[in-house]
Amino acid sequence: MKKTRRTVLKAAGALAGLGIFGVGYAPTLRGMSKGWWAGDKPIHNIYGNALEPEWRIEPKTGEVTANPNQYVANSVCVGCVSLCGVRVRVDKKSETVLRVAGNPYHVLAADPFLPYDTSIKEGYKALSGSREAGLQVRATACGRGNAVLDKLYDPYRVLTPLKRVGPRNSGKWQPISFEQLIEEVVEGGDLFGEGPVEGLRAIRDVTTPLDPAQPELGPKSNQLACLAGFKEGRLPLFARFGKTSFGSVNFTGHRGNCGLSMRAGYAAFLDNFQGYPHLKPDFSNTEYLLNIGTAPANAGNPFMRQGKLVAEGRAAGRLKMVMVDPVLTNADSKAAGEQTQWVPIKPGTDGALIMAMLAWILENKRYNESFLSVPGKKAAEGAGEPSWSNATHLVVVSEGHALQGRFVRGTDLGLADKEAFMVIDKNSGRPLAATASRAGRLFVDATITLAGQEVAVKSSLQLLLEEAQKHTLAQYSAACGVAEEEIIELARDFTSHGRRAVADCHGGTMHTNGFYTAYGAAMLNAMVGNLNWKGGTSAGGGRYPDFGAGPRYNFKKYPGKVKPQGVPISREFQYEKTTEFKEKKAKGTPYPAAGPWYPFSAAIQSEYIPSALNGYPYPLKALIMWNTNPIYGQAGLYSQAREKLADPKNLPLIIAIDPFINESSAFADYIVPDTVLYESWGAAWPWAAHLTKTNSMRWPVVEPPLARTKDNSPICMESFVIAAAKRLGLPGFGAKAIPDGAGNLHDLNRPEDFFLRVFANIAFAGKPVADVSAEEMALTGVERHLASLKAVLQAEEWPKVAYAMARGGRFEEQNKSYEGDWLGARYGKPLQIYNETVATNKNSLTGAPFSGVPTWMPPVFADGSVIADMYSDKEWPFQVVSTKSQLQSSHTIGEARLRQIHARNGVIIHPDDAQGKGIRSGDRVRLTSPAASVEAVALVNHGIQRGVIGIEHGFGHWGLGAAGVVVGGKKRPASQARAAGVAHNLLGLADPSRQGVSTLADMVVGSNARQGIGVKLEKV
Amino acid sequence: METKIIELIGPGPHIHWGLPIVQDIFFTGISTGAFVLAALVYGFNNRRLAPLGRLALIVSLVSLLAALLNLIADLHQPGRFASLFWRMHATSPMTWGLFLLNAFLLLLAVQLFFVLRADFRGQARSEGDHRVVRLLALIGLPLALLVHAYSGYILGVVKAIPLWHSSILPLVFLAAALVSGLALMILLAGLLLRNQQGELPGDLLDSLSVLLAWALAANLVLRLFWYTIGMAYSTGPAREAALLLFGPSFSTATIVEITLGLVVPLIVMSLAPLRRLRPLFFGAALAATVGVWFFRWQLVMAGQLLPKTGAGFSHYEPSFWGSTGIMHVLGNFAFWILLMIVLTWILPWQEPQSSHDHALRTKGA
Repeated sequence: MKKTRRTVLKAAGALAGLGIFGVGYAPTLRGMSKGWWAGDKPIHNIYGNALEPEWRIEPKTGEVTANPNQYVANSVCVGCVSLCGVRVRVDKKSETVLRVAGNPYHVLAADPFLPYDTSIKEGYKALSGSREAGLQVRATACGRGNAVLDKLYDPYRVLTPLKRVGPRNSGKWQPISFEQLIEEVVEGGDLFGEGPVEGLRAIRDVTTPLDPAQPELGPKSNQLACLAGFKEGRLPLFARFGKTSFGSVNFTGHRGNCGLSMRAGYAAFLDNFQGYPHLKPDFSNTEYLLNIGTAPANAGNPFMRQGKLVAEGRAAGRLKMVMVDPVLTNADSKAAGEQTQWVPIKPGTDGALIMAMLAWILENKRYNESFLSVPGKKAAEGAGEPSWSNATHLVVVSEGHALQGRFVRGTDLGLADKEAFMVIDKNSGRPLAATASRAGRLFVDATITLAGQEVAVKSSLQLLLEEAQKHTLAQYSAACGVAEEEIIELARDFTSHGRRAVADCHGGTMHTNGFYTAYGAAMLNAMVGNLNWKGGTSAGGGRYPDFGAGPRYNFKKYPGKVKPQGVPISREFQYEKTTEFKEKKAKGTPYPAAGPWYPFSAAIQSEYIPSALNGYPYPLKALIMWNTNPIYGQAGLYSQAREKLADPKNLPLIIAIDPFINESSAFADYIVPDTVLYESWGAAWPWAAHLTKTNSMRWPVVEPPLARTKDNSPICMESFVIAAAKRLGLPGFGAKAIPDGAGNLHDLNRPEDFFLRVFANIAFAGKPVADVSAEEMALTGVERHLASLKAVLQAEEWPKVAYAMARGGRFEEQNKSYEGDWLGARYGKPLQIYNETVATNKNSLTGAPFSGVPTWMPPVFADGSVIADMYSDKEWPFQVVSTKSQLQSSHTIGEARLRQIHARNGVIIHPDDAQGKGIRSGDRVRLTSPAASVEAVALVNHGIQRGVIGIEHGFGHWGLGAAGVVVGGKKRPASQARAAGVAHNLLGLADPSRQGVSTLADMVVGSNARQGIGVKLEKV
Repeated sequence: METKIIELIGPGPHIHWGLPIVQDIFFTGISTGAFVLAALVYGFNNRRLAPLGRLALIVSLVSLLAALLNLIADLHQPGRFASLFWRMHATSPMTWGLFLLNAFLLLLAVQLFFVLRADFRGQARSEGDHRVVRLLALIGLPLALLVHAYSGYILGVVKAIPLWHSSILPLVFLAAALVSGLALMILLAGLLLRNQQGELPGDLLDSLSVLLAWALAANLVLRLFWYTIGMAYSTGPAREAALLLFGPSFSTATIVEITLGLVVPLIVMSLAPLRRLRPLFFGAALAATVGVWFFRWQLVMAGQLLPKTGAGFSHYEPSFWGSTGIMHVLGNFAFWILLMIVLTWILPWQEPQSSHDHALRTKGA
């Protein structure tokens, strides 16, 4: 009996075991039953469904055989603003792009990059596994760079000109012909059945003042504004149209919505508010890199090169990288161990940290004294310094003195050298011209005699020290949330690497106090004197002349060229020079102005649409947006402007040139299609982190699928502005528009008429490049343009241009990067410890002068009032910041391959904050700012400062296919995948200290303040 | 240093070695541990352990078979597992492992055959068979150790994963194998073995517990060396890895695995009065076995959670279904139980009295 029971038990156990085993192993057994492939048999036994390789290399002989079915074109990626060189693999038969990888000649794609005279075939060898060469020159495109080619074949792409049907932003469109487009936008008329609309012809008047009562505003032609995106190689042609042919002063790129605070901070530091240069670390040799609101290897520009060099430096143990950021980004790396450090900080308070560091460095004499003492160029040469600063230069500080805030110059002392700055000479202890002194005193607080008058003066460094000492370390620490000891540790570490320590900043400074934050971050570099040093900071390697007056063609001059005049609508102009000021002054109250003015700022895209809608300083009659999306990219603009912008009374004509219907082009009256990526012509250049001259060439590697003009050009930005200009009879377009070196004039009727000649300038600069071979033209697909090359260029020009096109541009040899311990390409102006231009301008709302040295102020409104006083921490306890990912740009949500990797964003919340509200990862939460409210999914994580909410940029679209549209009566349904996640810019604020439509802006330079937006958080 | 950060934004790397690898290492460890016991009986004539000799061989064989199934399930093209035999790579530890595993499997089968042959014939085991059994046990012992050391080796050679990349890992693995093998044999002895009086075999369990105590102690000492030298006193990624073990994985790594799986069983196994409390005793053996499973899990997973790029740790949650899911693990355990039932059913797993005598005789001789 007992035995039977045991047998039954055993049998039952065995059967159960068998059953569970069967269920558990069913997938494995199924896989085995499918045989060798466990699924579909791929094309190739080993390489699976991978594409056929671009070329093969005979292992023994090293002979290269190119794939006869493909060509590999070197062009430029426009997936983000880095503009890396890419090699685009094209299938000859179908003329489709198969895949994208890195251009081995290009500094942004490979390190080291190939010597320029390497033949294309030899280049193939260097990229291959042959003798493991490919590991040396690993030319790559990043994840985004690989995925963006989806844009070419995006079903939501605009392929023909569109005209709105019904009200603005209603999503209904009608395809129209190119001829109708040009006719209507140029001539105007009752275009929408809503009454007459002025066309471009009526607006284009470069002589009549737009407001005779305020002549400084300039001519009527200023009532056309052109908004562009970033400098991706085509912008100069659009600028030629808008600025110097149409004659409008209102032309801007995207900077005011991108990183203007950073650029302005560097411009102040580098004494150049015209060129707006900026610095980047020499990543290959830097030992200590302090990133304040920037994240190399995670985002930033150039994205891929920074990432590679940072990884290399950290892996080698050379580079320590510190990230000061409310959000932990992937610039940090777990795998890098102690080579990285994350310093969480409260949003908008980086300035406090920086000023605390500066104070500690100055008080503890941790600065590079010999560098800062150098007063001028000659002294620098004598001291073996590749740069110098105005640290020792004397500034008049006497209250009420006519020269208050200005440097003492030779002219003030009656010296022969009128422009010479004055210092207190270190040796003699007496005032001396900076040109005559070998070393100046660093800290000066004295009186000198100017024109018989005792005047108080201080040295620049003295002013910086006093400004930094306005608050104690404890106060700075309390403001920014970084412990006192940690601030001292940062300052000590930063000053422990000689010239090989660098501080950098970027989009994290897009706060209302961002200008001074950026100026302060830049100032840290002056403390160690790293400019132009190996391992220090570089202003970039520059480029060969392209759009300027080049060796072959002159793009700076052409018959009838107009000099745009007047006040930009973004008010980049001194308020004190306006009629408004004079009238108000006459009434006794010159301040406040009706809105903020930004006298030394530039490219404030963020002020264009609000100013136009407010009609201040004047209204616009037409707006052309090209490849830009301020409605999505500008914090607060959508909630502020959506109703007014939809009303044509406020802005009668809006034209968008865009490959897609995005959040901004949705408001357009006309949409002009455009080429994307490798379909375009263009001459681009990296914006930083390259030490040698670099010009990237964009040329169509495939034909775009766009509708065509009558002369068979694809309808795109270039064909639109050329046709519009010709119809308007504008100078610089059509017949006899481009002068060559001999003074002959050449026609500009097609994009290649312009860009091939730009290429010729590049190819002929200095020692001209070699001539192309037929083989290289075939391998790279340049031969497709042979007819154009021969038609546009002269016989001696085109083979050299084709040589450069085949390589994707022109690149100086990498061995020119350094000269000993100095960089090869060096910045030539002095560093501004004190910036006179800044100091002698005033806030137009209050009349208060700006600080000439970096300073700490909490986030403020345009009139300098503290934001937290109006929107208290109690009522708005959390602060939203944007953070960037390695994959999404503002315009890449359509790329299925990117969404596959990372489909949506959420809001990052610190666990301590989440716990109090019972929020767990995955819960839906609502964020409410004083301006708007959004719902999103919570991501609870320790990688964020307490009290801060991080939102990854690039999601939450309501354009680009995320909303349905009707084109020609046919419905294009909305794609939910493209609408995934949440857009942080929706939460952006208006500025209550301003009138009319406004978005929160940098107090000094006007850039859009998208960081540190106060919100409430609740679980839905 | 912040240790609770999970990567959210970056496209994190996938976990390539999932549950089947944990399970494989766990079972090869038991196979090795059990064989060490069998080798003590057949190779070194341990009389006290003799009643467990055959069962230990069966456990070793069954566990090895169960372990190998995991390696097949882990392949995306499982039909190809056999191609390892002809696609060899002389410098790859995986190829070496292939031969070790198969040689050990063969040896186990032959060993079992010679141990049982006489029983099937209804005769006493011949001297010749005895010699063969002894020889195989002596060859098998180093082979068994190598088989499991290989599991540690194959993780240890991965220099991309700092938590694994340690030369002490094979030794730590061996100590863990002995713990799991011996602890499991205690559980099986408690379940299946009774002496002539129908009681638990006290002497046998005492012998096993002393062995287990040594194995536990060795394990703790090796861990101490590894964690202190390899992590606490090291820099860079290895340190980060250690933080992961003792930070976010505190409950599994420190509480379950080290405290419940090693320290508590060591105390119980070392103190006779505690051993007499049979529920505590068997509970401790069970905890030691489960603890080793968690050690395997911990090591395989935590090692991969430290990303090469990315500022936070990766996150891993096994799926339930699928060839590498939780159901697979349950199926694998079920396979083990199934084979154990079948083999103990059809094979004479209990050592006949005469063998004990023989062992005695041999020892006396």
